[in-house]
Amino acid sequence: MVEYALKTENIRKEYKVSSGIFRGKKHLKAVDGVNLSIPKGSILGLVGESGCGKTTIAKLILGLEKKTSGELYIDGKEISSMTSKQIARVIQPVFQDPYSSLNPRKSIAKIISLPLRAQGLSNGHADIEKKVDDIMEIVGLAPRLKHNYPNQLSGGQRQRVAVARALIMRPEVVLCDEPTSALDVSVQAQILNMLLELRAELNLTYLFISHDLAVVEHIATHVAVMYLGRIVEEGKAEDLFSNPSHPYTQALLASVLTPEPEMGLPEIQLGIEYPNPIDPPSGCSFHPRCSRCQEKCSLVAPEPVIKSGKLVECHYPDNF
Amino acid sequence: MSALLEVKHLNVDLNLPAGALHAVRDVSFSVQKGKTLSLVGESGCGKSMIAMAIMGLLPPSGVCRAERIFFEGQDLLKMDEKKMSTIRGARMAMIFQEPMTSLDPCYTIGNQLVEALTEHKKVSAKEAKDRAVFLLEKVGITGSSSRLKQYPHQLSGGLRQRIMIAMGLMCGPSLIIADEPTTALDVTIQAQIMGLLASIQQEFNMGMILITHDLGVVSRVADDVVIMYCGQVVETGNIKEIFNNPIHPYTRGLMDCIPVPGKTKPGEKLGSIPGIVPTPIGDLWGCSFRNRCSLAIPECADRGLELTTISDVRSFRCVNPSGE
Repeated sequence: MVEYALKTENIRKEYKVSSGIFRGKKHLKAVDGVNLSIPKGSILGLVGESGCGKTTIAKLILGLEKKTSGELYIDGKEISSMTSKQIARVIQPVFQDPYSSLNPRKSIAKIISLPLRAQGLSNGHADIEKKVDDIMEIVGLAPRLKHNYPNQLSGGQRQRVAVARALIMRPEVVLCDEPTSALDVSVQAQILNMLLELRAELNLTYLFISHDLAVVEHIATHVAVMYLGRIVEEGKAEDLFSNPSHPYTQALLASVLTPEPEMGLPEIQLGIEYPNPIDPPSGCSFHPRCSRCQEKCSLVAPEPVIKSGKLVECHYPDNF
Repeated sequence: MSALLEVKHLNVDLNLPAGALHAVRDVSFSVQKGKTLSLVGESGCGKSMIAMAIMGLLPPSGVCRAERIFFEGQDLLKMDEKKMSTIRGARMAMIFQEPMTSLDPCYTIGNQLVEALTEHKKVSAKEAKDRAVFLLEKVGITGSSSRLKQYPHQLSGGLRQRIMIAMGLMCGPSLIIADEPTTALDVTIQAQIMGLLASIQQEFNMGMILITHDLGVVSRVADDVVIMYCGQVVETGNIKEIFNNPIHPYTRGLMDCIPVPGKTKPGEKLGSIPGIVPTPIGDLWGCSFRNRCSLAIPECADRGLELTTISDVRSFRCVNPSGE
């Protein structure tokens, strides 16, 4: 049986948004019934445009936000039965911007060892020192940087510090929220290589949130495509990229600008902009932007179906 | 035919407390009408400083030296601020990276668009408004007359970037400088905005300088490419030559870094350039890339390393490109 490091069942998160002084509150469904399961040791790439709810899912998983309904299991345990310290033992985040996710007033050694000290796991000063030295070596940081401060480090080095801080507790799952989008391409490659090596070495599971499909295709074993709080297509990375079924996935893939000078610019079918999540379209939420929209799409929300090994939420899943 | 913009031997130094930072060193290029030249490099390579030097918008600590910067037959270096301000925004326009911060939140879109024109030309408010509506439609914004009354915060990032483009076009410039125009946008919007810029450029026969670090974007829209490293040009060439036959080790390293579906194998190691970009402060000699280069030989540290020119547009700065 496959063991799941992380599993969500029909998880929802609604925010109440004020729509005016005399009007009632409106509900914004940031996450609207998401089922995700990440087998141990795999990398799930979660992709979608800004505002689709990727980061809300990250917050729910980290226990930073309380879910409205549904179940979320981390390493087999339901999240609401865990304390925040217990959650932090199993899952640790790496954020997008290493310039703002590190405390500028603390030395690198202090930053990396904070999770240990917060959990009260230290066996004295020497033990912490040793663990910090070990983890710095693993992520490829020179030991001399220990007493430096974040502003003395380059972007790539800072992101390595963020990874070291996440790994010092030896968590099961690392949640990477756009870990390379603030970095230069040459540094991005270094960090991606490191994440892949660490996964093999330490048997980690990643939830990799990104809008860069080329990066996700490179790193992920499984991919989930998100649109307006729902997963519209999910499957193994090679199936999804070689044979996308949902029109949204197809449009996303078509808009990736790979370095191929012969190709020219793609024709984008996604005419109008991303809908307002407070006021989502009826039926299939993608229908106003869909090139294959039929009458049924604007009336009935599609149920997920299995199509060539992937889970697709579309009335007319098809390949061109 | 003479070039729309010709930059010859441009140097920009920033006077910092730690000493002079040589942000741009001996950079030359030219932009033709209707063509796109792309400046490519990692952060800190001086590509944005070049744009600022051309526009005359260098920070107070910046010192610009050049043999010449010719724009439409006039030498920009010899112009005073008053003359320069008649060209900046009117004959050449700039589109910045962050559409969130480059629009004024206190004024409506209409105000800002109209001002861009009335600032430079003697036209009536009605004419200016008509032009704003015309351009908003050109950049694909529907219901443009109601959009004019909106404030920037009411619009999405993609719409704001379209408005920035429309604003740049208000006076009918002949040169557009786009500094990372799509970096802050979603992939779907990125392709749309680049397509829009390309079609508008063709329609109005404008020259464009596209500054970016994204080789994917460059490969799809640029005609010529200048690859920069640490303030210097390391390689120049026609887009197809650069991508199909990169010569400089840095260019090749950059291309190996990006995962390309179909070419790089998922899960395999990407090529990467070890080390970090050095800060160009103090006395510099030889190839700036030699400390990160796998093909470096002792000659790389020689003084006076010049560009080797192969053809009109193709050149590179390397003594050992084949690694022998």
